[in-house]
Amino acid sequence: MKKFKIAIIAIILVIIVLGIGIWFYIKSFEEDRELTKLKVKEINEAYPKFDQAINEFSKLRSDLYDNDEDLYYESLSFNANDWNSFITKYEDSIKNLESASTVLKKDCTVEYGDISARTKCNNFKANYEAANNYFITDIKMYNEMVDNYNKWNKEQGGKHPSIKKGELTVYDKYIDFDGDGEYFGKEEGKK
Amino acid sequence: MEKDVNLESVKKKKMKTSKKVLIGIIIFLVLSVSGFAFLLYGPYSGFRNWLITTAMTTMNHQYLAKWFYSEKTIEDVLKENYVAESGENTDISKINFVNYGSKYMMYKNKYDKEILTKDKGNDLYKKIDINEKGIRGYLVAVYDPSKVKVATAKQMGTKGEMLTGIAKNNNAAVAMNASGFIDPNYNSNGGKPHGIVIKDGKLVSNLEKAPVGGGLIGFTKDNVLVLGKYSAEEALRKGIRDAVEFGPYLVVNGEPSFIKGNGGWGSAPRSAIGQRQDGIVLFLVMDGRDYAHGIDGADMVDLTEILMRYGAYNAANLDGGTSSGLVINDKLVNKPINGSGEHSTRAIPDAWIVAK
Repeated sequence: MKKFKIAIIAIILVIIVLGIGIWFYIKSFEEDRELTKLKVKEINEAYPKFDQAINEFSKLRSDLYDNDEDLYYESLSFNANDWNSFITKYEDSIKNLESASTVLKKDCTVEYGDISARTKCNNFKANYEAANNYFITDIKMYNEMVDNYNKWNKEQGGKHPSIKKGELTVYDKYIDFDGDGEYFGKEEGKK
Repeated sequence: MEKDVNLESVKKKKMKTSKKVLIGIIIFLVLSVSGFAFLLYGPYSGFRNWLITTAMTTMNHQYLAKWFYSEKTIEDVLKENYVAESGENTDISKINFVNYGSKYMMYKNKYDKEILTKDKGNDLYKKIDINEKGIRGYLVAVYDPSKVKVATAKQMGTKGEMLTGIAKNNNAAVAMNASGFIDPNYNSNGGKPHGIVIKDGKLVSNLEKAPVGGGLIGFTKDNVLVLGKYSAEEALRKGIRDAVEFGPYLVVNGEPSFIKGNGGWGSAPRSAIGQRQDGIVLFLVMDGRDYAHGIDGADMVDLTEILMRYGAYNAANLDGGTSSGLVINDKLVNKPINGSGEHSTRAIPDAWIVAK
């Protein structure tokens, strides 16, 4: 009799524990759905800011290569202030891009069922990698020119204005952000 | 003695009560399990659909659907889902043509580079093969949108024509199928296109529309791809020079349509057309039904993803299945398989071509 009662109590306890377990599980399931919806919303809101930052970066890059024929000593000397100002703007654009990428970096770590979030994340990863690798390539190219200029300036007795070198403010090594095994943008400067 | 009899009867009563409780619990458990099984596998599909579509839209709980249902069941349920278009029409002002000819290429990303790096000696178009995740297709980037036109079967309205024939008769460098066609018993000759067909600024057909969403898919005289729910008269007034009518729209003004599940169209051979913001036109054709090689086909999500990856700002689905075809220099490029398993496309009423 006693054993029988114990058995009943045990069954009831098991049912209660199962019930609580199932309740917690369903709760986590609902939380997962809500979190997914929130992340999709965050991505849709953050992407336009990133897109704008990428376009600004691309425009500056385009300006750099439209004027790269001016990257010889005499014109550098003559336009030293402009080039110093430009390179500061260029550094700022990649910092701005990094700031605009915060939410997307946090949220674009999974593949979403929502097509809008998924395509935005795919575009973000491809563009983010390209922009950062382009920046490294361009700064390396620019700094090489500046080194040569400084050497020439020294030979000239230092009478020409100094040109500041660019700084690798976000990454100093090429990145494979979209995980495809390639470093797109690496040494994609004008040849 | 009396006391013993009373104790015995109390004990018996208690046993009966405990047994009843136990039986009650067992019945409750059996009913619960049966009820749950009824919800999962019974005639009422609402719970099943909710569970599948809900689970498949989470990040970490998709297994809930996969535990209880086969892949086929899940797919069938998702097929009941849909594409919800934005309801917007193309904003023509957002398309800004870029002449890349004399400019150093500033690639936004690797997909941009793939599009903008032309094949040697070919300034007209570039074919990019798509091979990934069990899908296989062909993207053609057309650099001069003024060369993209509608071409029709010689006897459109009466009889359709194979895509290779349409391409050859219209001296096309590239050709891709376009309109769906009226096919009530699945045995038509592909002669009667659904909806509006405008060619060289003239309305050449305006039969019943296909129930596929979307609407007009056409190019203005300024070579902008316009997607919009316009009547034939409205389209001609807007200066549409070449157009067909089909859907659904996949991308409008840079935003993809909302797609629930897989968009409700399943996986099959598919065709789609799009245009980037820089004016470059995209033709996309996806193979399907090649089960021997694991190529079931593409769904609306696949089409949208690929087109947006390559920069499509406006894009629309075209007729698919056996109709899907891509011809380049008079040769069929895709690997079509019809409903009977034969390696063939079928007669169609019209096509998008790239004129030589």
